[in-house]
Amino acid sequence: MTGQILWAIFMPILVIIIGLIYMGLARKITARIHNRYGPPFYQNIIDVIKLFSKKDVANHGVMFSLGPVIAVAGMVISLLFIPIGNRPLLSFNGDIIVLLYLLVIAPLGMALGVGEGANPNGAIGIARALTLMLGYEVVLVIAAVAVMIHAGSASFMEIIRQQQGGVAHWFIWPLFLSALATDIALQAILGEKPFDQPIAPHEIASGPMVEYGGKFLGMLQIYHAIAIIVETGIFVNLFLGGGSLVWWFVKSFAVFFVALLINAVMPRFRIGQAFKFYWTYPAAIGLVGLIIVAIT
Amino acid sequence: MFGINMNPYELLAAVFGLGAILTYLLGHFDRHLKTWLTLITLALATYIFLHLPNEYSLESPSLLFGIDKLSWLFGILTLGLGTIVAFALLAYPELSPNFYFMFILNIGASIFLLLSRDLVAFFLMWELMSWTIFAMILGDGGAERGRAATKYLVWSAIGAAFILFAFAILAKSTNSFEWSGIVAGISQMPSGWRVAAIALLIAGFAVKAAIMPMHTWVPDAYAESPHPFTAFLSGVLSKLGIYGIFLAFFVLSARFELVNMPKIFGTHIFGYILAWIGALTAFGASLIAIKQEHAKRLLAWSSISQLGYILFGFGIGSAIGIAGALFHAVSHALFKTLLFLILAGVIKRTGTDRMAELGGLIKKMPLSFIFAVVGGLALAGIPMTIGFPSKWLIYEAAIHQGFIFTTVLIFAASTAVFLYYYRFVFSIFLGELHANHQDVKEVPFPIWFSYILISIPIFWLGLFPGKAMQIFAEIAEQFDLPAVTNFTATTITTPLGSFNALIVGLVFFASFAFGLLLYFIGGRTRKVHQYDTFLAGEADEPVKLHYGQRFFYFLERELKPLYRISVEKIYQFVAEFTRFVADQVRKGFFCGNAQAYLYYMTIFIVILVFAIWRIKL
Repeated sequence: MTGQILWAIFMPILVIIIGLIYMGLARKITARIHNRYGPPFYQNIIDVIKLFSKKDVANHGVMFSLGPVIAVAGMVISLLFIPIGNRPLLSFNGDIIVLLYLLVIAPLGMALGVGEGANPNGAIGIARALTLMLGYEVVLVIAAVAVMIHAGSASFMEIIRQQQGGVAHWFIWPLFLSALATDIALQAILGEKPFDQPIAPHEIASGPMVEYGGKFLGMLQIYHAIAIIVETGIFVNLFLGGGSLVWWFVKSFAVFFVALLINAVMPRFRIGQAFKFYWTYPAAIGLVGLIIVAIT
Repeated sequence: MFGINMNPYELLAAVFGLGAILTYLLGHFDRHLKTWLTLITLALATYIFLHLPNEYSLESPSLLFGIDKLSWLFGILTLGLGTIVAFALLAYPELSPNFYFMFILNIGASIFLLLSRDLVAFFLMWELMSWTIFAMILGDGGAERGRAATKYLVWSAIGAAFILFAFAILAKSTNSFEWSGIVAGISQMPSGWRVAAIALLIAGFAVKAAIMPMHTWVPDAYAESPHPFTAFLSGVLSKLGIYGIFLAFFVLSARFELVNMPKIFGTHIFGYILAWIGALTAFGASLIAIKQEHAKRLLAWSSISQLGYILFGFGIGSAIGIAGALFHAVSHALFKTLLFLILAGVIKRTGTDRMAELGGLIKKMPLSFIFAVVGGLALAGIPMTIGFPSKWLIYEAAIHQGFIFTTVLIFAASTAVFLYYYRFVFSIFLGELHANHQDVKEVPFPIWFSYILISIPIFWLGLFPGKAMQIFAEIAEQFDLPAVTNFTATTITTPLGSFNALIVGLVFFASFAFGLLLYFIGGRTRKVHQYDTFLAGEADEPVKLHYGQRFFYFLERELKPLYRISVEKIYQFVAEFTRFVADQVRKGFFCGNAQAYLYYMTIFIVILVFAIWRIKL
């Protein structure tokens, strides 16, 4: 019990550091693909420390300040509900559907905060993010339902247990189409190109982040760092069989790496196109996968 | 009771009747007296309602009343939320005494509808309830209100006709007017009539429950009815339709399901139809809610969508599905009453519900904003509020029973909730404050106090869903339905997974503390003006830039093919077609030729004579 509590306190900090390193590596890898040199892999950790030491940060009101707080809190609670490296913290107290709803707390809190910022760029960014969410959530759910029906359970621990015993037991093989659909959805969940319309620095000045500076931006960086681990972690747990702590992070980075490669070479869709894309091809792939699972 | 030698049922009726009349008469003398009288009436009625004996029968006319767990649940919702809405009415002294008269009668009719145990009492109360709603929507008149009220009335009449027809079939085939007699005799009915009666009943109740395609009166009626009353109309009165569907589907067909009905994967075919209608209602209405420009219409479409969830849960029909549907009925009643009351407060202070004209009200009405977030969390189904366990049960039931396509539709509908809810809260409370709203004040005490009263059960049942599950299990047991039994005060376990509401709540507060810690680690902040924003140099001086109009335009553009499907257009087509045919018939007969009219008269007299001659024989 004491070990569990210590792990629950230590793990978010570990995940934040690893997530920030992921972000740094992402910058490095993208730079190498673009034939640039790129910043060092620990650059984002330095950035966050710098942002937190900024003084006199612009503040638009109470909800504006609470937005990043809720964003971090929402992501930390989601983190505690997914098993990382075969260590179930609270996974017995909620299943995949609980997690899907916990995951929404963070963006919702942030969206409310952005709203009080009264910058139209921020609101447009949120409107785009929500539209994109309507697109990919359907795909994600189609895939998740396939997994739940295949495993006969909605509990992460049960799904991971069924995938034990080597690569051949991973759900990515029997549920290949669902995994493919989930991975396409993941591209938008991670906010990587071609689905980075909510941020779109060249169009709407970083969208939701436009009014946030200093420690607020630092908190949003931390939020993003945790989000990367949580979102890739869902894929690892559902389709790649979880694994021990080190393996789990290796798999999670592999999933992130695939998203990065696509990000590095793609332009940005228009938001309408992105939405339409999700409701056509990935949804169709997912539905075929779902029907196959439901029949067998 | 009270030293009066009266049956509590008679006393309850007397309280409602006298309360309504007294409120009407005395309401003309003082602006606030009518609301206080309404509150006293409802408080007395609640007290009597909680002490009702199980059965009561009236000799002539022979009517039968009684109370069970189901009517208790819906009765508590009606009286509780009715009292809270009445409390908020303290801030609306401008409403006429007629409104209060109708309001009390309406609640009385709803309560006796829930208590009625035979078809006659049920139908009488149903009609009284429907007519009082009509009177309240119509109010003091006006073209728009008249149109909305007429639309409601037509639909209500169609629904009532369905119900009456179904009651006639049931009463004729079972030779009984009492629910118990019908339930006992329904298995002897010819199966065609049985299916027809139940389908008609569901169609009739679906009008009040705003289920597609019977929903077209809802947006208009909600938009035009008095603002605080809309909360009651959406929150409580739509649930009476749900109550009716429950009776028709489970109390009546639970018996005939045992006989012989084709089944697919353990759900009978009726259930599939209901589930599909419910899922399509939820999905379609939530997409339409996204593109509304008026906040009241947005919430109206949202209501239709959420009521679709309840029907979907009933359609699944498993233990978890029924519990989820009843749970969602309770949670929708709570959060939609709250949201409509908040909107009523906003309209009271600003005079509009057009979202593009509002904005930035968080600075002026912080309490309203906080409770708009509470209501929105429950609407979106965020854990810790009542909205989550109810939705979660419905999803688990759907996946467990293998309703895969409808599950996807329902999930899409609940994602759409985030879109229209954010639009609602952003356009009204966030963004830029308009120049002419600089002097807006917080809503008066009765309104914000009613927010608090509704928020308590939203969080209480959100953290301790077991309390509600206990009641649903008792209801299921009473009607011999499968019941969810695997739950404690805070945890619900289904065959698929489990959910511990209290742990989620506690852990969220721990995480929130972590977030706050980060906030306090960072440096000081400086309060800035709302126009002090980064606009990338596109505007050199402060300009009004509230992003409120056509919020999801890019999405609407992509969904255009879906938006073209409109039930209203189909009705319009039917109406046009009927008018055309009738017109042709009219032109044929009323040709303006006197000779033709003489022919008609002759033929008519011949038929008349022939008929009389036949009867005489």
